[in-house]
Amino acid sequence: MKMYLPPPGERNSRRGFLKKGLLGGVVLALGGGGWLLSRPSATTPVPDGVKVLNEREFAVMHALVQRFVPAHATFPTPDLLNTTLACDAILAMTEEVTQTEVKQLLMLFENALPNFLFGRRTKPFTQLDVDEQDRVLEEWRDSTLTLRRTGYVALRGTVMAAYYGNKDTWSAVGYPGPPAGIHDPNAPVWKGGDAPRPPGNGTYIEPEATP
Amino acid sequence: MTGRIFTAEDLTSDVSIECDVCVIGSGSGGAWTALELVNQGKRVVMLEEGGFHTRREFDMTEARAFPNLYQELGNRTTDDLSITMLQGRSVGGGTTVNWCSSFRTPQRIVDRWKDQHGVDTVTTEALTPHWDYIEKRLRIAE
Repeated sequence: MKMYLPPPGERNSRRGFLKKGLLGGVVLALGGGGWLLSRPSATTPVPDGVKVLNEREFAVMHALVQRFVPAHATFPTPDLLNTTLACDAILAMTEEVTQTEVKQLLMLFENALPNFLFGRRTKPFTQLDVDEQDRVLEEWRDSTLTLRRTGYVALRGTVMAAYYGNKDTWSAVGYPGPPAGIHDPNAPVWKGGDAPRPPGNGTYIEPEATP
Repeated sequence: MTGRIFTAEDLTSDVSIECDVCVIGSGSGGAWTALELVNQGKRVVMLEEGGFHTRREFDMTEARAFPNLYQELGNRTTDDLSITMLQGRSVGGGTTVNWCSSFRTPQRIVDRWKDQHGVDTVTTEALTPHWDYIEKRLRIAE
C-alpha cells in the first residue's frame, strides 16, 4: 500500500476531509503501512459489488458497523440491509484522496503496532470482543489526537448514513419518506442560450433590468 | 441575455474563451456579481466546481443530496467537529439547498472583518444601499 506522508508544513488539503492535526499525517501513514500488520484480521465474506475496500478493510468496516448501529428490536439489522456494502458504495462516491484516507484510517483501527504505541492494545480491532471494541471506539471519540476524533466522526457518519439512508429503516424511525411533488425524473434540463425557458412549477417573472 | 451553462459533457475538447471578467462561484455572491457586470456590458464567464442539478435529481433523499449538493459530502463541520455546516456545492451554491433565508451581515461580522482582517471599507453603512437594492429585486423587502 502506498504510504502517504504530507510534506513538512503542508496544511490540510482542501480535498482530504480528515483533519489530521499535527501528528495525524504520520500516524495515518503508520496505520496504512502493510509491513506493520503483525496479526491477521478476522475475516468476513466480501459480497459482490465492493468497489473500494479490500477484504481486510471490509472486515474492519463490518466490525465498525456492528458496533455503531444500535441494536433495536424493531429495527432491521445492518446485515439484513448490507450496510457494510453501502458504506463501500458511499466511499466509491468520494474523491480518491478521501478513499485513500479512509482506507488508511480503517487499517489504523486494525493495526496492532500503532495502537500499541498510542493505546496499549496489541490485538487487531476485529479480534477484540464487543466490549473491548466499544472501549476502543470511546477512546477514539474522546481522544486528544485530532486524527482519531475526526476519524471516529468520519467513520461513524459514513456508517449512519449508510444505515439510515436505506429506506427499510424509515418505518422503524417513523419517517414516512420524502414529500411528493418535487421530484420529477422527466423535468426539462435548461442550460440557457437560445433555448426558451421551460415553464416552471411556479410563477416566474422576468426581473426588471438594472436602472 | 444569452448566457448558457456548459457542463463537463458539453466540453469535448479544449476551449479558449475571452471575457472581461471571470467570476468564481455561482452562488448568491457570484450570481449577483455576474448579473450586475453583464448588465454593465461586460463579457462574463462563471466557474462553478459543483454540479448542475435539476428537479430530475431532487429526490429528497440524503443519500443523493449529501454527496451531490453539499461541500465535503455534507461532512463539513466546525473545527471541533461539534457543529455540522451544510454549505451548498452546485450551480447556485447555497441558494440551491437553502430557502427562505436572506441575512444582512451581522454587525459583529463586519466588525471582525475590520478588526481581524483590516477591511475597513466594507462597512454596514456602505453595504446598506446594496442590501436594499438586492432585497427589492428578490422581492423580499417589506
